[in-house]
Amino acid sequence: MKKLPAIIVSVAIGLTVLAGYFFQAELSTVLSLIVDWGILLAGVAGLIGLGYLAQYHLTRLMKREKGAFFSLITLLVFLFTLVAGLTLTTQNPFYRNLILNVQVSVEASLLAVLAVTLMFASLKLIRTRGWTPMSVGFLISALISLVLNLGVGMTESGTVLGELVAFWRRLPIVGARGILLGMAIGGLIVGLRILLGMHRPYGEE
Amino acid sequence: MAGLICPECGAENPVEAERCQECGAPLIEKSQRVDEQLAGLPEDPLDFLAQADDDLPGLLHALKHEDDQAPLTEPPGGEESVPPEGDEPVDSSEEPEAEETLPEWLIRVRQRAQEEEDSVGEVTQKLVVAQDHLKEDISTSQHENFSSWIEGIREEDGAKESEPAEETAKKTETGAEEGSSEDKDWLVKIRKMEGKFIEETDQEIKDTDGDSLLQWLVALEEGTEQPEALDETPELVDEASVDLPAEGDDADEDHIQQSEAVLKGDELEVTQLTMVAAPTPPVEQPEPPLVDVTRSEQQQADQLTATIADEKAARAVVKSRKAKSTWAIRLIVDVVLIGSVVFSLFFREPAVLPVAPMPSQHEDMISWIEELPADARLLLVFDYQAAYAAEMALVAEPVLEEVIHPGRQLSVLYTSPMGELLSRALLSEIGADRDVLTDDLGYHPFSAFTAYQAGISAPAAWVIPSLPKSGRTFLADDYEGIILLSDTFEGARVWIDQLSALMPGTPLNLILSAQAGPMLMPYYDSGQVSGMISGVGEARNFSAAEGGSGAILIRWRAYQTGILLMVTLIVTGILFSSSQVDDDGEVNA
Repeated sequence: MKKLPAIIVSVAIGLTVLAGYFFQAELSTVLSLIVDWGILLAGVAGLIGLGYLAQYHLTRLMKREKGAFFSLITLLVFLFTLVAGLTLTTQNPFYRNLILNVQVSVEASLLAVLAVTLMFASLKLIRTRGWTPMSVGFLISALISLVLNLGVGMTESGTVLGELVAFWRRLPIVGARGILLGMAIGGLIVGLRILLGMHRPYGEE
Repeated sequence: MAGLICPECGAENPVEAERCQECGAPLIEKSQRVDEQLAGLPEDPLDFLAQADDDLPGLLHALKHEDDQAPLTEPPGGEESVPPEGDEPVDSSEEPEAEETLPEWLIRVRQRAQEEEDSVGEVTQKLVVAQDHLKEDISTSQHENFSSWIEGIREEDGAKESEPAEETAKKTETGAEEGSSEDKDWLVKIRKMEGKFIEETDQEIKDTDGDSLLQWLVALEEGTEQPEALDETPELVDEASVDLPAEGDDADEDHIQQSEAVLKGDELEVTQLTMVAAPTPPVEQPEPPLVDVTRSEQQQADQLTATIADEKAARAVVKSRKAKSTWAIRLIVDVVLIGSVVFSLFFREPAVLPVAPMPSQHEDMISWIEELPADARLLLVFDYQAAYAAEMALVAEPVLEEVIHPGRQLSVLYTSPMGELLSRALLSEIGADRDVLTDDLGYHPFSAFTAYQAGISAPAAWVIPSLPKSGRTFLADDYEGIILLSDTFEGARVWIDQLSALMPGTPLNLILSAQAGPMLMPYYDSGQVSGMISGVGEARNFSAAEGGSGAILIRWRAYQTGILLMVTLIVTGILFSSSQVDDDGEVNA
């Protein structure tokens, strides 16, 4: 019985949003309001997440647990960024360069490490699985994709090489279509289950 | 018949005698000391378990003592065996009940024995077999006529015995110390097994050898604690089927010499069983708990002990086959990788690129750009993270350079926390912040909400009185197109789904990272996307076709070098892994 109001609200909003695709001109006011509420709630959720993060690191710092030094660094940097962002704003070139030159470099480095790790993981495939059709196919596909990205085989269509390169370039799209179809069908089913109240991701089942 | 043997001269005395009738040595005092020591000994032979600290040798010793009780207390051939005063026949059934003193391990063993009938292990099974053999030996040795047993001993020891047993028996009867070493060899062994003349015959016993199961038992027992005693007793045990107390096995056996056997004719008569105190004072030990241990419990205790010993056993450490020069190889590879890419970046001249055939998605995008009016209003959506900023900037530059011209108006929104900074950096890099009028729509936390809100921007045909009027027009009606910059498939898919359903007439063009392009290609094929460009490779083709000379053409060599190095590493790694698999034999090639 306690779940009934939540079910009613969620189903009503879902049906309203769905109706907005068909009666956009009539429901645009309501839909804008609903979306604004959603964005507001998402922003509050972000603030709550920030609060939990700060509380977690503060607790570690107060209890002097292992890694408290890093918590201290995290809190100091967080406070510095917050204060600088509020006072200097993103219009300030100093603040903009400061954040960008740190954030972009760190994230790009992590991505590069991920790429190298994936490459070595693919090499271990041979050690762990041996020369199976799947492992061989995976490695050959990776090599071909990399070679094609080098700009090799940029020939006019109609030639044998051009058709072969076009085939190899189309090959990933074939898999992508299958994945997209699966995701679309899965999303449709989940949406219907939510609208019918059979699936309640907003609360306990 | 029975009496006290004088420890000084060996003469036989009546039980009630206080002093030796031959030499006058006191008997009572020593008898009392013996009684005291006997009182300190456990009545149950299995109580050696406690003395031996629950170890395997102690258990085996207790096992042997249990079987030794019968021939010692009940002499064959109807001969009487008189135990010393105060010494009662050992009978485990008469042990006082002391359940509260049972050790914890014994209680667990009993519980397990009740739960699992076959909980005994390999060691225990061997012990059971050994016990059976021991019983057989005892049964064969305990003939009705003891002389036949003597004959059996002689036959087994025939290689060493050169004289008839009868003569040897006579010599032994007159005194073992008077006979030659050869004559009294087997008798000395018997005496030794009874605890006498250990020192005299020690070397002789060490020279003996045997291969019976009991020898294995003794070797197993003494091998764990007393390796030096391994060769002291095997033949004795084999021939006489009785136990020789191992030297140093426990404290009591160090100081007590047990019994004396005298041969009369062909018969071995145990005339007296006397415990004689050793010269050294006995070491006082705490009273061992009186425990009634059954055979199965003992066997399980053996199994437990063997398991513990196996766990503590030293095992060979598997050495890593890691090559010592791995760090050098890694260093070289790293230097080559970084050095090659950095070196290629020094070539600042634009690469001369051949004009490749233009994909249809590129052609459509170029067509859309060319058809844009001079005062077009465009929406730019930044939906990528800082990690992809460099790639996205390279891909977006040639497109935005064509799109952004003075007189056009740009609306910018971003769905990633870093979007504002990233968008400003990119637009300032191509000079868009100077040339065009930009409208900052701000940060929107969720792509789905933002895309949906953009799609429903149409003004309401009627207003619900109780609800506030939507005062903000999120998306102008007259946008000539939307350019989405995204690094992931998911972020771009949301925009495609929403906008293609809510405002299918607005062209949507995608500028994507290399990882998102293949997954979104079907949307272009279906017509939901007007044009798209993904990855540095396609951006390079686009730029070459447009005759541009941007950063993409300068960094193309470094990009090619990096890709080439990665291909080389993968091929080398495959070959190396293949050879390792062949060497190790772990995986069949």
